[in-house]
Amino acid sequence: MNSRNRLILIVLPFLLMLCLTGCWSSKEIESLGVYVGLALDIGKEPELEQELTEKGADYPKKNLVTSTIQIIPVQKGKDSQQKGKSTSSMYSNSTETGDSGFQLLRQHALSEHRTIIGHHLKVIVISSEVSQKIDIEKLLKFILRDNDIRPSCIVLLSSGKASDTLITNQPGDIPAFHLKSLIENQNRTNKILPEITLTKLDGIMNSGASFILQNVISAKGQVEFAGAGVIKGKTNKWIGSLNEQEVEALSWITSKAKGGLIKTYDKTGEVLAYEIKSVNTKIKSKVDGDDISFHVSIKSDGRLMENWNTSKDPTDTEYLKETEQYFEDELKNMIYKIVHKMQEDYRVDVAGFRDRLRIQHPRVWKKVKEDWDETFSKSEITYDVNLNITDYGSSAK
Amino acid sequence: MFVRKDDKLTTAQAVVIISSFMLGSGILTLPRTLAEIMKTPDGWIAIILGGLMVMLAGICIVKLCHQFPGETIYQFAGKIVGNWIGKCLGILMILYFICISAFEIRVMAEVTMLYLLEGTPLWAIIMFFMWIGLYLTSGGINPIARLFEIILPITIVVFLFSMTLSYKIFDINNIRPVLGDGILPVIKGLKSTILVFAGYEIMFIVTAVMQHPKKGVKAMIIGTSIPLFLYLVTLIMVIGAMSVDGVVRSTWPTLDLMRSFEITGLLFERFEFFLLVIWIMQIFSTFSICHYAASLGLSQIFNIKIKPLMYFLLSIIFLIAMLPKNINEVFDFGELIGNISIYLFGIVPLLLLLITKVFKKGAVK
Repeated sequence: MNSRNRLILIVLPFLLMLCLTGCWSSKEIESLGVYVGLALDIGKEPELEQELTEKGADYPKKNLVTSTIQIIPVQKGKDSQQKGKSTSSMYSNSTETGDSGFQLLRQHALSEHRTIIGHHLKVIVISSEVSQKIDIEKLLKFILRDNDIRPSCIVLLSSGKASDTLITNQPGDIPAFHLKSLIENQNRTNKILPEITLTKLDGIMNSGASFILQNVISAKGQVEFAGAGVIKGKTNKWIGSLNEQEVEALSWITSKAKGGLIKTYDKTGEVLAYEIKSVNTKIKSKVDGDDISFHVSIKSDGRLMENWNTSKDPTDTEYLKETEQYFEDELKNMIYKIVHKMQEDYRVDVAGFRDRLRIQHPRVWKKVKEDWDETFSKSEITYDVNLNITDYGSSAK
Repeated sequence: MFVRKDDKLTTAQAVVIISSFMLGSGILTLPRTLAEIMKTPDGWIAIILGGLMVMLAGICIVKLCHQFPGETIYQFAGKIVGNWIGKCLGILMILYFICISAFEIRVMAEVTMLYLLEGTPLWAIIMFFMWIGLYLTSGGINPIARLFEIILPITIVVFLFSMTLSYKIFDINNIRPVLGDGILPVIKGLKSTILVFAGYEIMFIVTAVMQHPKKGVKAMIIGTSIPLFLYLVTLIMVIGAMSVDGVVRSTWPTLDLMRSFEITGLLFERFEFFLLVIWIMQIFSTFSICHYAASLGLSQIFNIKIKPLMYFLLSIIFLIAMLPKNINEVFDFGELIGNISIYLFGIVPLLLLLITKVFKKGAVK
C-alpha cells in the first residue's frame, strides 16, 4: 500500500464521522414542551391578555376563539422542589385569543421559553358556547392538517367553560390525561360514549351526519362526564344536549354498551338494578314507497344485582320474569324518550339509523341522504325489548 | 462465501423482485384514490379484479419472453417489430423506468419531510437515498434480488402486524354495503387499482436471467398475489376504520390509520414509524430495481458499459424527482406514469405477442 492510499484511508474515517454527528433537524428534548390538552372557548380575552394587549401585544385579528393549551412538563425551579410536591402543579395552562387556530398556537412561541410541540395532544375540549356559534369543522381544520398532532386525539364538548376542564385540584394529576382515561371506564357504565377521535370526527363531518360528543362538566377543579352535546350535521354546530339517561338509552340503540346497568323501581317503590352482560340490537329498516320506517329489536342478557324488596325471592322463576318486565318497561320508556327527543325536539338522527338504511337500502339512501335528518324525523320507529335475567350473582336471597 | 458466477435468479428471487417492485408509494394513497373515484366501500373488489387482470398481462409478458430465451425486451423488441421501432419502444420503457423511480423517491421524500425529518431539505433526503441505491444497483441484478429477499419478509410481517393492531378502531359497517351501487363503481376503480400493481413489467428483464424461465408464469402469479393480499388488507382496514367519507379527506390515509390509535402497554405506543420504516425500504427496492432496469436498457440498446450509465441516470432521476413544484403535481405525475404503464405494459406486450405468434405461424407454412 503506498503512502497516498494510506493517507486516503486515514482521512476517510474522519470524513465519515461527520455523517455521524446526528439528525439534521434534531432538537433537544429538554428544550421542548408538549401540549397535551387543548380547550376552545368563545373569544374573550382574560385579564392578563387584556393587559398585555394594552401594552402592545396586538396584531390584526377578530376575537372569536380563546384557545387554552396545557403544557407539560413544568420545569421546577429549586424553590418548588424544596417546598415539596404538594404545592407545585404538574402542568401549566396558557391562553391566547384570536381567530386562526394555527396562529393562536404559534402565538404561544412569543411567551413560552420552550418550543412547544403537538405530538402528544390527547384531548380537545370544545365549549358548547363556541360550537354553537362556529362550525366545529372550521375550529378543527388546522388540527386535522397539522403534521404533529395525531388524529388519535379525542374530542369532547363542555357545557361550561372548556378551559375549566383543564384545571384540577388534585396535585400530581394532569387534567388532559385524566379526561383521556375517563373514556376507558366504558365497561363500567353506558353513560360514556365510545371515543370520537379526530379521524372518526373527520369522516362523520364529511358525511354530513349529525352526531353527539361526550360532554364534560367541571366544578371546583373536578371534572365529570355528563351527558352529551348534539351537533347538527348540516351546520356542524351545537344545537342542544342530551342528559345522562338519554345517553344511556342511545347506547342501547347503537348496541355500543360495553357495560352498565338499568335501575328502576318495582310497584312498591323499592329499587331494582340490572347489570348488563351483553346487548344485541338489530335495526331493520323498511321502505314502502316514500315511507321509511325502522324496527329496533333489543336483546340483552344480564344479572339481577339489587332488589330492595327482601320479601321476594330471585330463585323463584316467576319473580325473575316479573322483574324482567320492570326492566323492560323502564328501558322502553327510556327509548321512547330519546326517540321523541331526536325526532321532535332536535330533529336529528344521532343513533346511527342512517347507517342502517345506507347498508340495507343503498338505493333509497342515495335519494334521501341530502336531507336525512328531516326524513328521519318523519319516519316511524318501532321497538321491542327482550331482557333476559340469567342469574343473580353470589347472593340467592 | 458462496458466490454465484452465472448471475441467474431462482424462481423465489423472481417472485420477490416482482412483489418488491409493486409495493411502493401506492399503498399509502390507494385507499383515498379508490374511495374518491368509487365513492363506495367496494374498493376491495376492484383490487381483486385489478390484480387478476395484471396477472393476465404479466403472463402475456412472460409468454412473450419465452419466445426469446435469455434476451431482455431491449434485445428482442427489435426482432419483432424491426430495429428502429424496437429501439424506440426500448427507449420509451427506459423513460418510464426513470420516471417511476423519480416519482417513488419524491413521494418518499414528501412523506419523510412531513412526518419524520421536518426541516431536512428535499435534496438531502433524496440524494442520500439515491447514493445508497447506486451502491446496490452497481452490483447487478443478483445483489438486488438477494437484498429484496431480506426486505420483503420483514415488510410483510411488520406490515401485517401493524395493520392488525388497528382492529381497535375497525368498524365493519364502514365497508358495508357490498355492491350497494352496483358493479359500475368497481369498474371505474379498476384503473386506479391497476396503477398500484405497476411493476409486473420487470419480468421483461427478469425472465431473461431466470434459472428456469419456464417457471416465470408461476413467479408472476405468486409475485402479484403478495401485493394483492397486502393491498386488500390495507384497503379493508383503512376504510373500515376511517369510513369512505373520512378516507377521501386524508392525504396519506394508510399512514393516518396508523396515527389514529395508540396502544398502551405494548412497549411502543405508536406504530406509524414501523410502517414508515418498512415502507421506505419498499420504496428503496422499487427505486433501485427501476434504476437498474433503466441503466440495463440503455446499455443494451446502445452497447455502452452499464456502470457509467448508472451514474448518469442517477443525476437524471434526481432532476426529474425535483421537478414537481407542489404535492398536487407529484400526484398528477404519478397518475401520468400509471396511465402510460397501462398502454406500455398492458397493450404493447399483447400486440408483440400477437405479432410473434402470427409471424411464427407464417414461417411454419
